[in-house]
Amino acid sequence: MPAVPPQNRGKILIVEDDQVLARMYQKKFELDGYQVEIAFSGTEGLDKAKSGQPNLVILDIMLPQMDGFEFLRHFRANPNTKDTPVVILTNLGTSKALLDEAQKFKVGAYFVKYQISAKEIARKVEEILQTLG
Amino acid sequence: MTSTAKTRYNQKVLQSLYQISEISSQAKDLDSLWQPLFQQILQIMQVDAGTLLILEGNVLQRKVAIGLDPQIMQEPPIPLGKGISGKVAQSRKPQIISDLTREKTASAVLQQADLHSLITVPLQARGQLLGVLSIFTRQQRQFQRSDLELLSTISNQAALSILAIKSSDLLLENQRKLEQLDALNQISKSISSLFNFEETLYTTLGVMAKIFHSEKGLLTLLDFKTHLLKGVLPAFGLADNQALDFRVRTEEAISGQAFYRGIPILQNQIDSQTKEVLKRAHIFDVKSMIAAPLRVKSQTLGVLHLFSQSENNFQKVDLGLFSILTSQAAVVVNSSMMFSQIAEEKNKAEILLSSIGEGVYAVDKDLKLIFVNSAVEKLTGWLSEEVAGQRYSEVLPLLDKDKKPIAPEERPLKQVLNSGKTISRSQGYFLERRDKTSFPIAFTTAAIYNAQGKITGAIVAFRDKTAELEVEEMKKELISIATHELRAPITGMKGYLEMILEGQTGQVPAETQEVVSEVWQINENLAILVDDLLNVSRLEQGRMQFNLQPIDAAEQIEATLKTFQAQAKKKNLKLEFQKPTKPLPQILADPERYNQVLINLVSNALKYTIQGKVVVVLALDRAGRYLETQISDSGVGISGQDQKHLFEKFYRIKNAKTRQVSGTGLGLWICKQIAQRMSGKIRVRSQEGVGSTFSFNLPVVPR
Repeated sequence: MPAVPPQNRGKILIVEDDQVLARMYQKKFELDGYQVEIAFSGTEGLDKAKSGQPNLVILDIMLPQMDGFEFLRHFRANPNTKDTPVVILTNLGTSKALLDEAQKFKVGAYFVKYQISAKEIARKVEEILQTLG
Repeated sequence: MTSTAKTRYNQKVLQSLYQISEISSQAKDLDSLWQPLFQQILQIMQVDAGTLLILEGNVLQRKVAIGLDPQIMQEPPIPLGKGISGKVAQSRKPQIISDLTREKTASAVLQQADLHSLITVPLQARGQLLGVLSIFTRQQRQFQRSDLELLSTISNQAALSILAIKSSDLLLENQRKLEQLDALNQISKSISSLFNFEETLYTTLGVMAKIFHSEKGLLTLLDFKTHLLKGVLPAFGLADNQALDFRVRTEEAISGQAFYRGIPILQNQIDSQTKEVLKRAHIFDVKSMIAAPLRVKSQTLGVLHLFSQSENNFQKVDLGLFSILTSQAAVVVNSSMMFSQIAEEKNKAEILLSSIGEGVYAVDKDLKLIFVNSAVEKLTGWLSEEVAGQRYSEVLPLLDKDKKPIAPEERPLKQVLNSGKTISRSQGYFLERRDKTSFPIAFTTAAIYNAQGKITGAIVAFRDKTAELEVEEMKKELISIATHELRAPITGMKGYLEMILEGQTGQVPAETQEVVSEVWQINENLAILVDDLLNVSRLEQGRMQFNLQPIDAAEQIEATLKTFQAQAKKKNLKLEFQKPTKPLPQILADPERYNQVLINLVSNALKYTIQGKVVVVLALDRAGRYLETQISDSGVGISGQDQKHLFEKFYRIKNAKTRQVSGTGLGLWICKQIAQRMSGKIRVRSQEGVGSTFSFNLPVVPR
């Protein structure tokens, strides 16, 4: 029995340069009832974050020109977005160094792209947004 | 005797002596000496028989026997010391025997000859014993001292004469021998320029022409195809066209005779066939000639000719020397011909070696370069002239995989020279160029043997692998990039399929559900394959990072097994971790990689176990240096044959019983590589139908 998704559970910004993945995540979250925007680079991401005011950002680390961490610096520096929850998606693995770096920026979750399913990301996103209230 | 009788006797003696001295001085050879000499002796000594023995070596050879049974000439030579003659020869003292009948030492023939008395004197001249001379009487006679003196005088004369004749013979022989030696010497000298056929031949013909006082010399060689003897250049005293037009069939003319009879032939009157041949060649004015075959090892190569415009220029006695000189010439000609053949072969070989792209070089036993082909020049920047004769290790240094020079004693070529066993290597070596840069090579080196089977050097063939390695690197890069690029699409598909299966895109009929599930599984397998390929690629390119740090193996195991419990439950299998009873030391490893191996092995264990359990155990080795992680299952087990190849790339077990869920054949290879990179080992123990235990150990953190 297909679940009827609640309408407008929030706005999600996906910053991911791979088009295939970005669109797949977009589809998933839209089916789950969220409003989704995509940015294909860090700069575009910052712009869209400013104008769109997302409730949560899903962020890829390996981005052209400005990498994910640099985006986070700017993102957190902005008073409007310094508390917005971020979920990191990376293909770089889970080394301590990267996790520590992510911790610095108050990241809500850290996932390795190819080891996790979109379902699990969605579940985590729901969890984070619910705790925020 | 009365005084007149005495005077007359003395006169007679003098006359006889005169005769004898005349005979002696005029005798040209020994044969014309004996007979007249003995006639005189018999007369003057008034005896009935006489015999002469000449010393040849250690025995006395009878040369003359007058008034005796000719049978005596057939008797064997008398050794020194034997018989009357032998004793006289040995003692050099004359002997007089008045009554032969009483003598036991006389030869049988003498006794039968009914001889009564004898004198035997030694024949000496200039202190040299030449032989023995004896005279005999039938009647018994008391030889006097004067008889002995007379005979001695005569024999002295005879001895001197013999000596003179022998000396003159010797002188002549010596002269001949000197001539021969001189000729041989001249030809030998020209052998130093052996490698120049033309020069050698011309010198040889010239020398021979000179010795035999002829003006023209010509060598003809057998043409195997046409079976003709053809004149070759250079000729001596002949124009080119004369030499080249001199063609003879092997059965005709003097040349043909020399050829098939295999002996030298001289003609002081030219036969008609030979005249024809000479006419054809426009060689005129030949009055006499000599020809000899050139033979080398029972093969006749051709015929050598000397022509003279003088009549009777050549004598029989010349044939011997001519033969000797021709055989010398044969050796020379043969060697020169062989050398040209070798040079030709060498040329062919060089052309061949130049045309192949591989560098080829050869060294002798002293490791000096004796050959370098043009590819070596191109690849190393050396010129073959610069490096010929140099020690190869100085000119072509070999480097190991880290580009460090390899000592000459350690080089494969040195080993090959000692053992004779060919060595081939396709990686791990670099060759240094003249400009000190280097390039990777693959090479083969083998020993060179001479005809006796001894190692006389070694040869190396190598190729520049730079292009190959670049291609290899590009291939690896390509595979790496391609597999990397596959990840996003696969993840994308997984996401979409999940959405369908979850019903988020609408109701899914049962059939669709089934089909989409299959696609989902296929996609999962694809993801695993791509993962494996990426791991392999990273490992091979040395790009996998290992951040070694102290980790608690037990903690890792507990965390990982938690993620597998659901899977185990689905198959109704027990998955447990036998917690260590006392705390175990930490191991030095990269946590992610440790997990990677653990996950792979646990996953396999669950996959290949139908019922029962999978247990993980930690075990510290006796020395306390390595901690082993063991994953045991009660699965289908692995055959001994399969166990041997289990950790090889792409090895998959062909077992009808096991359900091939996935299995790239790469997983265990990856585990092995990872374990090794962390200074550990991986192994398997298994029994078919019972189960398997995979274990890998890693070093314990040193205190």
